[in-house]
Amino acid sequence: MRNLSFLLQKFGFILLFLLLEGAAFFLILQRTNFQKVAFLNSTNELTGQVYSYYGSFKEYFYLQKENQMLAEENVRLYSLIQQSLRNFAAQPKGTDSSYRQVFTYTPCKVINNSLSKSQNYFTIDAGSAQGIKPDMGIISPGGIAGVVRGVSPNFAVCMSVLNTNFPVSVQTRKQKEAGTLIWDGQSPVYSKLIGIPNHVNIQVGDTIETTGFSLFPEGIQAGFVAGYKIDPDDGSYIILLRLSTSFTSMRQVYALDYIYKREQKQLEDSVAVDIANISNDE
Amino acid sequence: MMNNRNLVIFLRLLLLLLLDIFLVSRLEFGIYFVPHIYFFSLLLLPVRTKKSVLLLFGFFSGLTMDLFMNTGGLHAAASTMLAFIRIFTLRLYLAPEDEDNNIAPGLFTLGARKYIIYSSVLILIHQLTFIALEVFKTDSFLLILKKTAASATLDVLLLLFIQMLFMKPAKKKNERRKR
Repeated sequence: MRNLSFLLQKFGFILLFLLLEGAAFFLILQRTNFQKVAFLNSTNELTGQVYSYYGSFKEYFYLQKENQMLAEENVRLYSLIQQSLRNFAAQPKGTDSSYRQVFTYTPCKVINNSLSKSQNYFTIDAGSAQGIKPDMGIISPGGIAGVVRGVSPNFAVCMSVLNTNFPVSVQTRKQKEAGTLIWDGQSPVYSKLIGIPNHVNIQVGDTIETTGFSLFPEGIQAGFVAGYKIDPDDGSYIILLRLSTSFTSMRQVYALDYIYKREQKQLEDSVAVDIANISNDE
Repeated sequence: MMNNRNLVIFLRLLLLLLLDIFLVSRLEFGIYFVPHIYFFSLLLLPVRTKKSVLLLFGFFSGLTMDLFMNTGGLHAAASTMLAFIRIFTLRLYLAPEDEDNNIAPGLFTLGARKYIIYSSVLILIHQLTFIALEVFKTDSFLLILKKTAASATLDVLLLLFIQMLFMKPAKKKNERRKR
């Protein structure tokens, strides 16, 4: 017994070390599953508060740039209104069920942002009390920005496009050819686009936008082609994409809610169950 | 006297954490340079700090950092590793009287050459653990090495800079060091 206590005294710190490293690794592995550790990240109300103080302080330095970006966005929105007026004039009178609203927008501000990691996240100053839910898409005036992962009453943590795990499908604006956006963890300005077959005519400067298949409505800018080469393995393009959102100065963003998401998901899940049953029967 | 010293250690940790969260981790030096300064407080703990205290100090200072940076347990893992390695490396650089006086290993208490080697080794270990765990998935070995080398170099410079700013050269070796 005395030997045991002597051993513990002498080498107990190794046990403690292993225990603490174990705890740390547990937290790292849990990180991908944001809902479970909502208490351990900046959705946490305390750290959220600290960051919103910091954000409101920092805001003063960006007012000019912010104004300019909002003005540019206004110009874009005005042009949209004119287009839609023309379109609606051609429509028959009365309520038209084919023009129901599908996406709603919630304005919010980025209060914390990271750029230099492989898995980057940012925090916004709106949470479940403001109607933010997990898996909502986030867009900036420039284009796509991220997707909501964890939500607390007044804050939400979003996975940035600058994240090697960011899931989004995009297409070329001209030919509507879909590919996958993959960030390689190198630069906050560029990303990569793969999977577009080489018979498509791609030119430097072409616009890349979202497809309607994921969290975003169709046609939201993702970036512009900055260069490309052909993958020798399968003959598809590897496109270097200049992201249209300026992540280094991102402040004002909008959270998108796809109103029919639950209905769509239920339907897709039920069909998936059917297919699974059929393949089990065979 | 001990209480006073503990208070100084605690305040120094707090100051370094705040500086790191709101200033250093927000500087954009490019993708390779990701400096951190909060763990300098670990390097500066007195020589006779208990091993268990050292490990817990590392873990919780890292965990606080994780809370603010959304990094899960990356900083906690790296700092605990630093504390563990410190237990073995610090012994190599101590004179017998250093241990008796319970000095805090600093630029002027250890001497420049010993101190730079001691801190470089530990900073390198911290950055390597952190970056290797962080980049883990993309299996890019070279990127990990480049990032570690760049960040660690910047960290050593930062540490020396901070030491020169805040620590007075001790007249006598056993004089208690002030911040």
